Amino acid sequence: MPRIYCNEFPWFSPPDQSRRENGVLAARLMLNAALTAPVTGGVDHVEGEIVWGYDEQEALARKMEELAHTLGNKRLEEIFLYEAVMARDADCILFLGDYRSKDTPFDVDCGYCNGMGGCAFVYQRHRTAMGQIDPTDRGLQATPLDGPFCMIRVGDLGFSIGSALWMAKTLMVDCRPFFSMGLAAQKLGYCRNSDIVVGLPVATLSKNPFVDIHYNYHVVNMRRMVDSVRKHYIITRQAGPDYRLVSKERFQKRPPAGDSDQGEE
Amino acid sequence: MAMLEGKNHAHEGLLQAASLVLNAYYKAPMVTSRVKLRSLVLTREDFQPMIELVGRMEESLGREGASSVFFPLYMDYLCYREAFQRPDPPVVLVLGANLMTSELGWNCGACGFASCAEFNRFSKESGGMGMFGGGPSCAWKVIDYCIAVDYACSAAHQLSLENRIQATFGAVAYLLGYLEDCSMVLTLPLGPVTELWYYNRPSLAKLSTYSEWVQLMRQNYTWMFQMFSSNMHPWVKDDGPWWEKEHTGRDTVKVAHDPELEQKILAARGKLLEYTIELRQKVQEMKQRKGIEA
Repeated sequence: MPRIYCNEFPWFSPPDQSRRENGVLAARLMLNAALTAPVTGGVDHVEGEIVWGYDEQEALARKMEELAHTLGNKRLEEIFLYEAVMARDADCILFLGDYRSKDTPFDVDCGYCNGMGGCAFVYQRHRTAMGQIDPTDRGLQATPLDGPFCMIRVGDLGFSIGSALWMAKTLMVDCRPFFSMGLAAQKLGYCRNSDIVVGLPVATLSKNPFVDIHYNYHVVNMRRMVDSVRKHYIITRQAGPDYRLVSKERFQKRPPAGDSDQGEE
Repeated sequence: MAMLEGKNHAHEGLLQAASLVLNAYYKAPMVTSRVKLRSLVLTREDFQPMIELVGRMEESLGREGASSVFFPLYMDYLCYREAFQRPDPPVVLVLGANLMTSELGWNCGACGFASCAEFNRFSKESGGMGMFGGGPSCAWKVIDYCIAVDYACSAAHQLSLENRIQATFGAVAYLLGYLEDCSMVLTLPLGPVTELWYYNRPSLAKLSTYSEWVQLMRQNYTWMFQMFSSNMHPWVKDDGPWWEKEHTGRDTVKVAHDPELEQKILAARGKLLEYTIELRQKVQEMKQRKGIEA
């Protein structure tokens, strides 16, 4: 019988890859849970994409770091930098996006997006033809997201995320919802029909990598620490003498047989 | 040990189950973690003003008038009206939050404004009550609030309680002021102790006729399967032997302004406002009596 051996360290070793594959299984079930979440009017609205692997996660993390510096928003800068570390730590990342929030509002004048104005608020602020919002009008907005969105659809996305998170909880995998990962994913072309995307990284590690982090996490984190250990160790090791020319001091007297008091050595 | 009648015992457990569901609601993970969640648990008479609102609409405007405000509201009303006449009425959770301000400073643009500051300004100056709730809303707070609501739904589902999340009666709860300082309100009934009360809607099936259903299909799906294409007024096939009808007896499709319907909707909205004002007072008094400040 083949054997499946899992160990979370060293990172990206075969035992770690086996463990990550299990995380992907959890993400697949979470995606299905998202699709079965309650939804206004029962109409489909959510698309999902699972991304995993060293290259993919590294690309996502780098996009998040780029956005941290290019969005020009002080408040988001640290959030994006810290969460980029989490994107690297995750086993895989599930993206959930809503593809109806911009161009197919629910059309009931509910008022969530503006109050009294009804759905006209959304229609007025996008290009329209034949009473429809032009779905090809994208990517030229000044803000990261091309609002205003139908808040009923946005709420439905919230329901889907909730169900995915509940499935994660049921499967005992760690997960949290992130704006930063969703925005970076959108820029990289994941969930391409969606106007708003949320990232749900999944982890099956001994310590949940998405909580209990400290300030300057993008500089002071496990990867950087391990790297620092390697650096210092290698430098210090070079002070070692030729191990073949052992000094006499290297050999210490063993305690006499039967003497259990090690402290007397 | 006591011997208990099973269904009564199950019904008594609904209040305890409600507390578990609410624990899930408050523990939900969030994107912003800045949403202040509010909730109320309603039993029997606490819920009556909500039924009364739609009931009064039905009394004064008839069934068609009451359902013209928003048909799904009327369907849920039928479910509730019958459910509260049963020996095992539901326990109804009212879940709400104020999503009309943003202190995030993300300036993401999902709300349609260039910055959170502009959003807040619009909210203060032009925001307010809509049909279902207040607006504008911060999209990320909407997501967070709905994650929490979904957690409540998931908890109810895992406890195998009959439940359905509703914007319809959430809007009624919002109008009647059950929760203070909330812009989005949804209701989540737990029970009655039976299956498919809010989905297959046995209470609706008792009232609606086959011909009404046919009419609903004709009005909504005409062009999908019953209509002939034409450059004039396309004619529509019937449920029966339409081929036996003369051309003069056939229904045709025409898109036109309907002043009669407009009047009906205006009248319904007027009544809705009138009854809302009256019943809001009743709800406030009830809350004071029960010492509820939320």
